[in-house]
Amino acid sequence: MNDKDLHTILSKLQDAQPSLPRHQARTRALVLQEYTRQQTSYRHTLSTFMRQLIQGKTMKISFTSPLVIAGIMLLTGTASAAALYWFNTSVSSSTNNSIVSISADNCPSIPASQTRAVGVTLPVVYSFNEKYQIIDGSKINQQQITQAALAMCEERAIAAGINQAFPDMQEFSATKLAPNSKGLYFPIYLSGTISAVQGDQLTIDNLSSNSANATTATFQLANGALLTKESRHIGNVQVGDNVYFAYQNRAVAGETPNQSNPNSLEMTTDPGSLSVIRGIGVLTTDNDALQKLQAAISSGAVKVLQSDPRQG
Amino acid sequence: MVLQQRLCFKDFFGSLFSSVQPSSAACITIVEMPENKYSLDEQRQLIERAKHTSAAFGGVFDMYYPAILAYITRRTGDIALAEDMTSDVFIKALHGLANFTWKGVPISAWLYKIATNELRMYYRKKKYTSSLDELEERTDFEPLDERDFIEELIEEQAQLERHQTFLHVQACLAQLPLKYQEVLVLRFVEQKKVSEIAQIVDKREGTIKSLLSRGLRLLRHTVEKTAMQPPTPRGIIPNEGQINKP
Repeated sequence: MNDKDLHTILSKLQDAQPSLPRHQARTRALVLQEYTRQQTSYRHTLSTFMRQLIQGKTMKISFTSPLVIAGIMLLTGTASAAALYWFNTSVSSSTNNSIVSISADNCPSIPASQTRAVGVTLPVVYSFNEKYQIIDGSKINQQQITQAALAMCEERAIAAGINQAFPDMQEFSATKLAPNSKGLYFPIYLSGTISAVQGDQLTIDNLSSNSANATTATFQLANGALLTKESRHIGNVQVGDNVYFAYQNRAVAGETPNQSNPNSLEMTTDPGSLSVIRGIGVLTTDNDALQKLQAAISSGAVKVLQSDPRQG
Repeated sequence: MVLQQRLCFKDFFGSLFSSVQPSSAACITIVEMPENKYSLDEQRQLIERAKHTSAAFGGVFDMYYPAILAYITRRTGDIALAEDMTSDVFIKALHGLANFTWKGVPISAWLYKIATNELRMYYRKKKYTSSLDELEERTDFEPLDERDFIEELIEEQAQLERHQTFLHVQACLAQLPLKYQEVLVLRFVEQKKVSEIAQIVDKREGTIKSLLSRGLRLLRHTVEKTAMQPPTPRGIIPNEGQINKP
């Protein structure tokens, strides 16, 4: 018997193509019903949390904790750097409400049974429009802060029970998100314009849009990886296209943010499609805020941006 | 080719379906779409939409259900088991959806991975408990006519049993260690590329090639050995007790 015969034999397995339309329809109905149940469960959790917030019950535990761990990616010149910073304020922003960080050290209790439900519907909380507003520099509002805090708490809940909750998700395996870690996702949003396309390599200009401090930068990650279309899954782009970045890093106390995984950086021509939406840390297109941030990072002292965005 | 199927249920789940016909809210039309109709970028958009709306997740379900069902059937030769396992693949996909991070891997690879994990668990424990039953109980779901499901299952199983070549090949394959079964079926039956198989089974491409080479050698040996006496395949012919649920 030769290989061809063997392949022919194997191909006979292809003939087994069962058709179970009734079973398919029933399973579909059940799965989508479960989808709806999870959404409903999450909305209940969120509305309870919001109600407590309005009543002042959770303000303290949500926003006055001393530490926020943030991974910040600096994009400047021909290189970028990532660093871990500890903010001393619970809610901080520039006077232009450009950078907001929130602490959620003491999260409201989220029952284990609801952690999945919370996770499922986070994108609903941060709708495309809300994300777009953040990217464009709109003021973050109280509701968004609340949602972000809850999202962070949810991350903690997942981190605590990750192995049980998502046994099939390799990217959330214990090796990447250690149990009992205080991992938070910290996304940074940036925008820019493609000024050159050479082969598979992109050059991004006007980082963060209207910045007077605009740089012509060949975007590099801290580990030296070049930004390529392929690695970013960005498809066909050309000079002049606006691009948006979302960088999500997991910052853990005592641990350097993961710089070796370029996949944690998203790049897209459609800001609505950015999937990195969790946690907080919003960098807007505001020029003044960008300069302040860069200066603060350059000096190594990030004492940035005191203002309460809740005051508008 | 786009395939349409129209099905009705006693319960009203109109709001859950993207394709409900206004004139008959308890009926749905399932549209099966071939995966290769979508580019990677479109698949990425689809998965993002699925995080937001049940209708989009329903689209993912419709698109991949037949392929996953067929894959599990080919691996097990047992349609009742494949029904349960396929259901659980999508329930687990739903639970993992929020944390699904797009890395340029086709959606199908993600689902095949979940399915392969389910198969591994089954072959290790040799028993399977479906979450679908729990869901049905919890949601008090009542299909139009349970007999339809049983008849459908019996009919498909009977058709499978008439396929002698399939039975022989499946039985030979089932004699191989699990690691060879996985890669052989994914490569030669599901027509996956080596790189896709590597993603699905979490092994390096070089390892996959080695497994394929050794697996084919073992399979050839097994087929030649059993050529004179076709073995009775495992789990192929269910008795009535095996078909215990619609």
